[in-house]
Amino acid sequence: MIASFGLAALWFAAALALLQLVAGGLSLTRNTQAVTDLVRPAAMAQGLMAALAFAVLIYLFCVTDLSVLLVAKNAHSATPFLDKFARAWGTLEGALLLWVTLMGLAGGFIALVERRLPERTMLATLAAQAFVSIGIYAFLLFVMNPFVRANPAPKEGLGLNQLLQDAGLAFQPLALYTGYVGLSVAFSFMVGALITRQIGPAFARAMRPWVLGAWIFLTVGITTGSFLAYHANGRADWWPGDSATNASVLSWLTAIALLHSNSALAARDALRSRTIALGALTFAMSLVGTFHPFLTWAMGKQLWADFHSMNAALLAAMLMKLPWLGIALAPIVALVSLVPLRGRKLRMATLPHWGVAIAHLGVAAALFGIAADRAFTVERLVAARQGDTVQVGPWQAELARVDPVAGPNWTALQATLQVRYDGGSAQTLMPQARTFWSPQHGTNAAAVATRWNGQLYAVIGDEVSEDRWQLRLWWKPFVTLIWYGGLLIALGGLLALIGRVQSDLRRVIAKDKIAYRRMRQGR
Amino acid sequence: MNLVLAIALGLAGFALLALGLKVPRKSWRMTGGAFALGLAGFALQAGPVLPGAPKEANQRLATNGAALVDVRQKLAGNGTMPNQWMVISDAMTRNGQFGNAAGVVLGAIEQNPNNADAWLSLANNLVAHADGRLTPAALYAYRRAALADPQHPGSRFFLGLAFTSSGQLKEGRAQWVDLLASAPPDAPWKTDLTMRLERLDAFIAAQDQGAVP
Repeated sequence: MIASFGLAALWFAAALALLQLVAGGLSLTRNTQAVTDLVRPAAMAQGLMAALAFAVLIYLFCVTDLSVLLVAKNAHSATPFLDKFARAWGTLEGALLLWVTLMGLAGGFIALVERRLPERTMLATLAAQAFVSIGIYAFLLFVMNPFVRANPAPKEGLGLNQLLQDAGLAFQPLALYTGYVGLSVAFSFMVGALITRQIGPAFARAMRPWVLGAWIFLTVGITTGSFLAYHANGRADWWPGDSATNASVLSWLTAIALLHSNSALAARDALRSRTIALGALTFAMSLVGTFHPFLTWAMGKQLWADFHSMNAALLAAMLMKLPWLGIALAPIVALVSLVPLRGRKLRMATLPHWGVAIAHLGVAAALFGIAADRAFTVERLVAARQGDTVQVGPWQAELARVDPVAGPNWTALQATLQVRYDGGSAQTLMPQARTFWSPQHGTNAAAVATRWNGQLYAVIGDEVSEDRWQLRLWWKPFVTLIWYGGLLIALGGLLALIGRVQSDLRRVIAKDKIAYRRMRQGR
Repeated sequence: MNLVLAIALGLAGFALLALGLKVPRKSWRMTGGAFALGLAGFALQAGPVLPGAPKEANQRLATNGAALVDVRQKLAGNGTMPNQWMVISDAMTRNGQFGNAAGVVLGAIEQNPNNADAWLSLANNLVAHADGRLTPAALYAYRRAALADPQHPGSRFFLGLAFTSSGQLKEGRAQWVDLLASAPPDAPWKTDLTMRLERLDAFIAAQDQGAVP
C-alpha cells in the first residue's frame, strides 16, 4: 500500500511538471496574470511531491519491503541499516528518482527566492526546467518504474554489490548527482535567458551560484569517490577508471570552463556566445554523467566500451607523461595561485579572491600528488609465511598471523601485519579478504598506514600454498595530496560562492533601500 | 484502497497549491486538471491491491546452535577443559549469535593457537554465520583444527557437514568416509556417523536418478 502511495506521488509530481511547463509557456505567449501566478507554486509543489515519492522509496528499502520488485532484486534483510538506506539510490531507478527530486527541489527553491531576473526570464527558466524533468518522469513512469510490485513477494532479497556497503561509497553518488542537477538548473537559466533574449551580466550573476555550487559538489563527489575507491578496490588505484568517474570528470572540466566564461560575462558583458556554448556542453556532459548506464544500453556495450577506452587511453597517456611534467608544473601553479592576492592587503582581500587563490593552490597540490604517485610508487607482491618480513620502499612489514573473522554479513581472512617505517616503532595493519554470501562475492578490505609523506597500502590475497599468503604492498609517496588538493579546490569554490552570494545580497538590499527611500520621498 | 489514498494525496496537493501557495482562483481549473491527469495515470498503471512485505533480519533458523555445541563437545571427549572464552562463545552459539561467538572464540585461539576445540568452534560459527556456506575463512579454520589435533574427529566430521550443507555432497561424503575408515573400533560416535553416511548415500543416489532436484 505504501508503495502505491509512492507511485501516486510520482504521477502527481509528473503532472505538476507538465502544469509548470504549460503554464510557463502560456505565460510567455499570453499575458494572463492567473497563469503567470501559477508557475512558481507549481514548481514548489512539484519539488515536494517528488521528494515524497523518493522518501517512500527510501522507506521501502529501509524496511526491505519485498513486495516491491526493485527492493526484491537489490536488497537483503541482513544488510546493515545504513546500507539499506543508501541502496535507495544505488539502483538505476532510484538514482533517476533522486535526480528528479533534486531538480524539483532546486526548481522550488528558485521559484521561492529568485527575484533578480526579469519575471519573463524566470518563467521561461522554470518552463525549461520542467521540460527537462518531464523527460525523466516519462522514463521513470513507463520504462524504469521504481514502484513496480513483485507478486508473489519473494522470501528474501537478492542483495547488491557489497562494495556499496562502504558508507562513504554509498553517499558519494549524492554529491555527484547534486552536481549534475545543479548544472541542469544552470542550463535552464540559460534557455530562459535565450528565449527572452536576456543574455547579459544579470543573467550571468543569477546563473553563477548554480554553476559554482554544482561544481563544488562535483569536486567533492570526484575527490571522495577517488579516496573511497582507492581504499575499497584493493589495488591502491586512486583513479577508478570506470565510466561513471570518467563522465563526472568530463562534467567537472566543462563546468570549470563555463565558470570562467560566466565570470567574464558577469563582470564585463563579454564572451556571450562562448558562455552559451559552454552551458549547452556542460549540460550535455551532466546528462552523460547521469545516464551513463543507459548509454551503455543504447549505444551497445562495445561502442560504449570503445568510447571509454579512448578516454582512458588519453588520460593514461597524459598521466604517463605527467609525472615529471606534473612535478615541474605544480610549484608554478602554486605560485600563480597567489596572483589574485598580489598587491592587496591580505585582510582586505575579499572572500572570492581567497577562494580563487585556495582553489588554484588545491590544483597545485593535487597535481603534485598525482605526479608523485606515478613517479615514486613502489610495489611488492610476495607469497609470505607467518613470521616473514617484506621490505617495500622505506617500510618493513612482518606477517604476524592470519585469522578467520566474521562481520555483519561477511566472513574474512584477516592478516595482522607489524609495519615499521625505516626501523621505527611498530604499527599494526589488518587487511582482510572478505567473502559475502548474498549475493556471493569477494572483496579486499585494504589496510593503510598514513604518514605526512605518503601511505603504505596492504592487501591480503589468496593462500597460494599451505600457510603461504599472497601479500601486496605499495608505498605511495604524497598520494594523500591528491585528496587534500581536491578538498582545497572545493573549499576555494565554497569561499568564492559565499563571497558572491554575500555581495549579491548586499546589492539587493541596497537596491531595496534606495527604492524604499524614493517611495518615501514620493519619487 | 490504493485509489482512495491517491485521491486523498491529490486533494492534499491541490489544497497546498490553492490555500497554502495562493494559486489564483482562475487557475484552479487548470491545477485540478493536472491532478486529475496524474490520478488517471496512476489508476491506469497501479495494479491490484497488494500488501507490503517488509522483512526483518532473521535469526539463523536453519542452524541449531545448541546442537553444534553439544556434538562438538561430545566429539572432543571428556579430556577437554573449557576455558572462559569457550564458555562465553558456546553460550552465544546456543543463542544463535554465531558472528559474535566467532569473535569471542578468537580469544581462546590467541591464548593457545593449538587449541583444536577452539578452532573447530570458530569454523562451525563461521559456517553458521554464513547461512550454512563454507567460506574460505571457515575452511581455513577447519584446516587449523585438523593441524592442531590430527586425531580429533571433529574437524573431518564438521567439515563434511559443512560441505554437505553448502551442496558439495561428494566432498562431504569423502570427509566422512575418511573419518569412518580411521575411527577406533570403540569410538562412541561411529554408529551415528555410519547412519549419517547411509542417509547421505541414499540422498546422492536419489539425486543422481533425478528424483531430487
